[in-house]
Amino acid sequence: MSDRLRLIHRRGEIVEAARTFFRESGFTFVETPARVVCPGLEPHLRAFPSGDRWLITSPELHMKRLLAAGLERPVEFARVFRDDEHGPWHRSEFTMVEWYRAGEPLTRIETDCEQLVHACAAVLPNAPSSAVACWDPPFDRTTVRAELRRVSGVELAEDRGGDLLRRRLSETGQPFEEGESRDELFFRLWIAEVEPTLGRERPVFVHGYPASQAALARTAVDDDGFEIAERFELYAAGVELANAFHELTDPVEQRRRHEADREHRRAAGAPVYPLDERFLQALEHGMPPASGIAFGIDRLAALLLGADSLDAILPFD
Amino acid sequence: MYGTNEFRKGLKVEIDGEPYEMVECQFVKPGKGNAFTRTKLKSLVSGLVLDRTYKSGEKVDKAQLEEHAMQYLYEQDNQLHFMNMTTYEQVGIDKDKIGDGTAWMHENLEVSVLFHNGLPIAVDLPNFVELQVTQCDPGVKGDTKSNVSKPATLSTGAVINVPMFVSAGEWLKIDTRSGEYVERVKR
Repeated sequence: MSDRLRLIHRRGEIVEAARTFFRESGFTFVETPARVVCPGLEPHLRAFPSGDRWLITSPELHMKRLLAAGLERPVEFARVFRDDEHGPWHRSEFTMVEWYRAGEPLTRIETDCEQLVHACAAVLPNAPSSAVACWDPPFDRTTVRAELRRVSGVELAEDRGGDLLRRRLSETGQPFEEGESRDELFFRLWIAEVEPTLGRERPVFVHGYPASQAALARTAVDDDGFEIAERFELYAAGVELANAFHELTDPVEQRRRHEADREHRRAAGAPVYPLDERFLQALEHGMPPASGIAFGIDRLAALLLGADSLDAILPFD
Repeated sequence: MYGTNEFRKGLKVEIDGEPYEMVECQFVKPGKGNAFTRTKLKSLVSGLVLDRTYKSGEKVDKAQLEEHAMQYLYEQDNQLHFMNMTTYEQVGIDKDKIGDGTAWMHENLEVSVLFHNGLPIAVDLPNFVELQVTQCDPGVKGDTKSNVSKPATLSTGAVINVPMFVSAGEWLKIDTRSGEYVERVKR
């Protein structure tokens, strides 16, 4: 077998190991529609039109309807579609593993991640790639504030107006525009200099995203009174592997955020997707407290196999 | 101007009046938030490498570069002088801008000179040049062992390692990228 085919074969084994992990952990495998009325809410995502509907960018809304209907542990290996995303770690069409746990905190999802990565690494005949020094659980844990302080010397909690972010961007010669919001400046610095350093020693859970980036997560305050979203991202070798939420279940707040996202899209001149009324009705009917996560299984497979992009394991683009 | 969707390796851009070549570029998009392109840009003047991250849709200036075929004439005052083969204009370029290439510069050699806003910033040599050996130990006929070598001085003053059978007065083909002997040539 050629090296190329061997990688494709191993990738298949890793995905199988992931399925086995979910089966043995008592999850229900589900399938949600690919063509939907509302393809997702995140204001920066672009969906592909499909007739009078859209191709999904994430199975999130349908899976939450299943939670509201009483399913406690749904998992889907969903094929999702995002227009205009191409790069070493991005495909406009990719497999997202999304799962939820009703009545469980985010720490339970962290444990799932550790066990999932461990199970995937275990099918390899050799040690996984040294792109991450040690893949074994427990993974590291950090916060957005701590990492921004460590790498960029910026204390986000003391930077309401974004002046510290602006100063750091100027000092390091990174482009930015006057009048950009703190979130926009934060992303510039985060992508430019923090993200590439994350998860080099071990995979790392990054918590404490600013509350303004909560999307569909609950919000809270950290020990210093800094408003944060109850979500984490998992990084390995500078690559984002997963994004988890302690899910928002309040239908009023949810509707408010949907509207805000639609307004954001309108202002940006992007297509504005309809509200998913059936999803909102399901929340009104009562979605249980839950935590959930979207996980890029092919990014994990590529990293475990020592590839420096998805191309090595996904031959078609 | 180049937009981020036109970014690719090899693109020549201008930042703060200095020309750069894009040596790396990577699309990256956080799960929540804008898409960006991370780049590494190498200065065509100093060789320094910058990390620059651009938001999707942002634009960068095109570097105003021109390339001219020129012929090497002579060296004077630490400058090498070249003649534009179309306009016959002459220009002197500091030796340190040319770097290792000076070792292979022989009279009438045709090179490609990169100009930024009318000023020469780099000289690109052909991959192979032919130079005469001016000095080396006598050749050992029939000694074709390839793993034994001796130093030889070339007409430009450069010293390279050559096989034992090479003699003074012979012409050699040299790879300017590695600075290594390739073969003997008949002139």
